[in-house]
Amino acid sequence: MEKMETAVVPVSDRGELAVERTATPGMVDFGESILQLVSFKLGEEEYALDVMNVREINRISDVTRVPKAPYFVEGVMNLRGKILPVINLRKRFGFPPSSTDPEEARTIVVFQEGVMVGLAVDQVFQVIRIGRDKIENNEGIGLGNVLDAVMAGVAHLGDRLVVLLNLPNLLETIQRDAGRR
Amino acid sequence: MGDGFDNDEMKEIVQDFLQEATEMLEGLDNFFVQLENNPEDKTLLNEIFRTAHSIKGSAGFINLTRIVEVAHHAENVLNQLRSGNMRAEPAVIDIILEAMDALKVLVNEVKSGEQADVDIEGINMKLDLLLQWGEDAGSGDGGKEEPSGGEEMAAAVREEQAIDRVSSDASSLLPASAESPEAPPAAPPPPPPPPPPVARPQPPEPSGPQRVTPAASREEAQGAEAPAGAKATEGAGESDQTIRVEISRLDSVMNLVGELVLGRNRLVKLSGDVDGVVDFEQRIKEVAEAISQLNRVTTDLQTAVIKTRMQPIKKVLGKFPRMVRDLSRKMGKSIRLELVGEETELDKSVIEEIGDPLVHIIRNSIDHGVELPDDRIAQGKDAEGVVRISAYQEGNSIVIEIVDDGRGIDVEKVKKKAVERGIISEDDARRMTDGEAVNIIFLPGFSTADKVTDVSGRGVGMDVVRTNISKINGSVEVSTQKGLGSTFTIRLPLTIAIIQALMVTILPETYAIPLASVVETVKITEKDIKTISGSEVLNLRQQVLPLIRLRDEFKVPQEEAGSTPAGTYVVVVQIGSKNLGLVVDRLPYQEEVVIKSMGPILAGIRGLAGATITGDGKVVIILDVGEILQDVSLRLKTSSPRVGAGEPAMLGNGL
Repeated sequence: MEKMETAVVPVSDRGELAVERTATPGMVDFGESILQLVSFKLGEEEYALDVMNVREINRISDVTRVPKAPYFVEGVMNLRGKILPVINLRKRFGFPPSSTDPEEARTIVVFQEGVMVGLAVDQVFQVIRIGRDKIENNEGIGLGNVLDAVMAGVAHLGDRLVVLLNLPNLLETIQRDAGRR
Repeated sequence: MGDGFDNDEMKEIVQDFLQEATEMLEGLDNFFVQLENNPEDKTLLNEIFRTAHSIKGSAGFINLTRIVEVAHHAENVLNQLRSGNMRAEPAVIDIILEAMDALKVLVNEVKSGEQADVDIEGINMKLDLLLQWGEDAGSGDGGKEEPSGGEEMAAAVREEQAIDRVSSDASSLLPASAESPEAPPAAPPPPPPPPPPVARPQPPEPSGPQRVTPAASREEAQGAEAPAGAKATEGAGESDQTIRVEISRLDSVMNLVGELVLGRNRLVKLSGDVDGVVDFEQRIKEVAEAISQLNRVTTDLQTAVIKTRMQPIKKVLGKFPRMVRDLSRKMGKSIRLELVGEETELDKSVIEEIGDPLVHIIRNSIDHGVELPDDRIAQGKDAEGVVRISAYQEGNSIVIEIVDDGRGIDVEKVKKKAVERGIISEDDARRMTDGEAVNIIFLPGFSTADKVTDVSGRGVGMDVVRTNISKINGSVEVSTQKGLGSTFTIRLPLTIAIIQALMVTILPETYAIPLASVVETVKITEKDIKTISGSEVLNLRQQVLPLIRLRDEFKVPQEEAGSTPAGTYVVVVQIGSKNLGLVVDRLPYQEEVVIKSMGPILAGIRGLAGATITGDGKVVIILDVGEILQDVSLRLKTSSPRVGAGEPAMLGNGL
């Protein structure tokens, strides 16, 4: 957590943000046209999840291997007395093993319909606020079956491209593949 | 649930039945909709059959003859479906659902006490007709009829149905709803869908979309009554549950919590004022004392909390005297039921699950075990047969024994039937000991009964028994002596959440093995391990014990290649009468562990029961010895694949 930078609001969005705030005075959130994302890195590529899906972000420590588990399951972790399955997103997406500093690796704990899962990533990058109109809604642009099924869109931040993941689909496909053994 | 009149047993039993039957019928609706989409789903069919059978059984026991009648006819049809002689065509399901609706009305009739006029004959006739067609088609094509045959049958029944509906609509259904206005809106059968045209052309192999359409339209017709089946399965586990606890038990929990708070305060105080401490040794001693007090209190608290969940097994056994009396009267037998150890306590969740299996076993003992009085006298036995249920605690488990002094189980007949039904091969039959063979009765689809009665003998029952018992981590076994009777032995864990576990290490990894299934541990060296036709075994006191190396089984990564320990341990585990040796590196310690689920993603892994968190905060995986044993014996029996085909259903993990 301590390595996360403070929120970056893309300059081009500021005007829009102000308009949004005056439009709904007294509201804490930024309205429906602004999304807050947690972005993370898998290698050099940047991915993001809606901040509302993210419970917490932890260092990866003491993961117990689970025999006979699907290849993309890193293992299980003790999350304050609960057993947390940890999914290695790299393996899940079929990427080569990481070459980044293992000290940067984090588990993003997500919660969806009663299922709590840790997603192991190379590095948690930043929290992004971005207008919905900056997100290109292309679900699946031919990046391979696994990734296509879980993509919600691509956020354009200057020349950065951030792949926005659809968490319900991600967990559903994971669960489906885990049950198929 | 009802108000529980202790002085009025029958009323309580009826209340229980009503609640159970209502839930089961609701579940069946969903199952049938699922079945229509997956007509080949054997697990689902078995589940449906069991549920229907349970309804029939319970209804028969409290003399609700009209429900039994409909359920019996429906069951005949379900039996054909299950044995593959009939396909779950939409038209077939239509009629079965109609029967289920009739059952709902009948159950409601019991609830409201008002006579509802349901056309039982009409429904039974339809079901019989369906059966007739199924049998004709089945015998004509040698078991598996062509889809076109099934379609023909369905069409003919539909025609019949259309004619019949006119009369049933006019005469029975309307008065039924008129006479019982208090009935909840879900109870009266839904308005029948317009009869489909008889000559509707359909391809011989109905494809996906067509299969979905009728189900969807039915869902609309029944409104919210038929949601997705998955939800029903989930909901079944978490119906509104309450428990009655003696005040004294709650008080002891309360007291212990008080002590816990005292202990915490003491520790907080000791850690707070460290400044100016002169005698550190004294301080350490005080901390150690506080910790040992906390240790004692938490152990007591754990026991006390577990006790609040414990209930006497009397709760389940209480309904049997009446059942045994009614059943034995019906069959002209004279049977005395003896209950021993009714006060033995079990965890609430175990109590809930153990009822059905016990009913099936006792029913089986009465129907197949105990002979008619004349036969008994001819054999020099008392005219009155005895069925004894005894419950007692043995170590960390509860044992329930059901003993009868009947004719026993004919092991040769069991073997013969099992071979006939393709459950085992003839080779298997020859190799099996009597003790092994008699346990075949727990496999799905097995029944030695030559005639089908409404008490037992359809080949459901014993597999339900095993499925339900293994659901709560228990085991069941039967032993028998020809002419002298049979003994069913059920072993159940005292509580299902907390278990004693033996910790084992394999290279760098640690696993927990439930101590209840551990017989002994043996220290061996590599050269003690022999092989028999490629499988590793250990000669343990002149007994050959099959071995598996957990290192290979779990593919434990070998980090340091040369670090094989000098000695090896074998943990001998036993489930039922099967033994297996697990080869591990070390046995560091035993610990009481809390079983935690690993969540839906990892829940299906065979051989793992869950995980626990040890004192040092690490996650340790708990082994499911039963599943490991089953998988290993499957692998060893690759010569007889039919056993393999039957095995998954026996585990009952399909739904």
